[in-house]
Amino acid sequence: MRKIFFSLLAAGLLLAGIFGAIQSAHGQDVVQPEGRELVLREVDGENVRELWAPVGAAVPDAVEVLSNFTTNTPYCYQPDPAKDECFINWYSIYADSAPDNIRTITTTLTSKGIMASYKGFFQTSMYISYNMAGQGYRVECGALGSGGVPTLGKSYAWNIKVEDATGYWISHSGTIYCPAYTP
Amino acid sequence: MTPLKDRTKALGFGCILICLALILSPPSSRIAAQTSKPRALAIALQTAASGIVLPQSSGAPANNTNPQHRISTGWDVEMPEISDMDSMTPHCHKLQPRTDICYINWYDIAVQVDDPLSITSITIKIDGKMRANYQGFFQSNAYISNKSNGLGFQVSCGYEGADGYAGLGYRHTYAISYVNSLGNGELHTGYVRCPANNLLPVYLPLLSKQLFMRTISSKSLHVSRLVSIAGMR
Repeated sequence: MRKIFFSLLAAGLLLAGIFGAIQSAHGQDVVQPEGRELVLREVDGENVRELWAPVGAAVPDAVEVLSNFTTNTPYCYQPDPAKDECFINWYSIYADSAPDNIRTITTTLTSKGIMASYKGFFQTSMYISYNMAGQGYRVECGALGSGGVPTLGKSYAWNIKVEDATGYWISHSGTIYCPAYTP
Repeated sequence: MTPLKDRTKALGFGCILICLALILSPPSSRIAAQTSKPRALAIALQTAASGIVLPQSSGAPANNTNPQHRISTGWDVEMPEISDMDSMTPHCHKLQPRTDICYINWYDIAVQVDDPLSITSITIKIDGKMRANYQGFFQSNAYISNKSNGLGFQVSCGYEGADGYAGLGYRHTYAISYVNSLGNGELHTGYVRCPANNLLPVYLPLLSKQLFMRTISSKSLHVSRLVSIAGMR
């Protein structure tokens, strides 16, 4: 009897652990920033852009605020087809938060962490060109179809976030697909 | 009249009838009959290269003398008057002498679609292999500079005269295509010839015929390898 009880207890604890892990993993999709609330969210396929504001803050024209931050042409290329080496970059990133100053812009590859952090210095706009990241961020190209698209290689989720001095956040997210490594 | 004369007369009459039919038939139908198969094949090959689904009544220009082609796909009209995509000055350069490493690049690639359409993707294929994928992010225009791909896309330069041109090496084909949010797009295809690697003329006397054949069959020639081969001799 005691054996059965301990077995059931162990199984219960195991299941609770598994479901707890699943829940925390699921929660990573939409991170609720502390002290901020979602004002506007636009979705176009795998591309998402969001405006977050401090809780209780007066929200100006959200659409206009959202349009003041542009991320152009995320891309992935394979310079040498003999190597499983691709580079991810963005053609340009531009933010305008006038009259408020820009605090930071961070670029993140979800599987790699934060790749770059740009700080504002008494400035209301910021332009980040592709050549500021050298060749781009080195990643594995991956096998054909490994990212979910049969004609391409691995896929990488990315996020770019701008924060201004008043605490507004604008977040751009998407998924970039790399050419496949086919030796 | 003898039977031989009858047969000759009938043969002559038949020839005259065939000649008349050939002369009176419209020339366009004859040209269409000659070009329809190669043209269909070219479109099919280009479609396969780009991964775009072409409509059956695609009005792609069939110009066999021009190696570069521009095809618009999925539109109701056969060919838009104004192109949505520009791919300027494809080129191949060898940055270091006596190497077999060349780089293919374009001066720039620009795509502009009308609102409310947006750009889904722009892809570059070289020799049938996907080398770059650019994606749109809530944008109706995209500009890709020659510097945004590092030095360019690495290819083998090839030995001198590999494609029949003095001083030049391999010929590499390319296909650039873009797709908009409706699934329509445009395809640019063509080729560039790369400078020759200039490796073989120096070391030719040191190579046996067997080694020479083995070396030119390999696409990756390096100075170090040739030097080691030369050292072995």
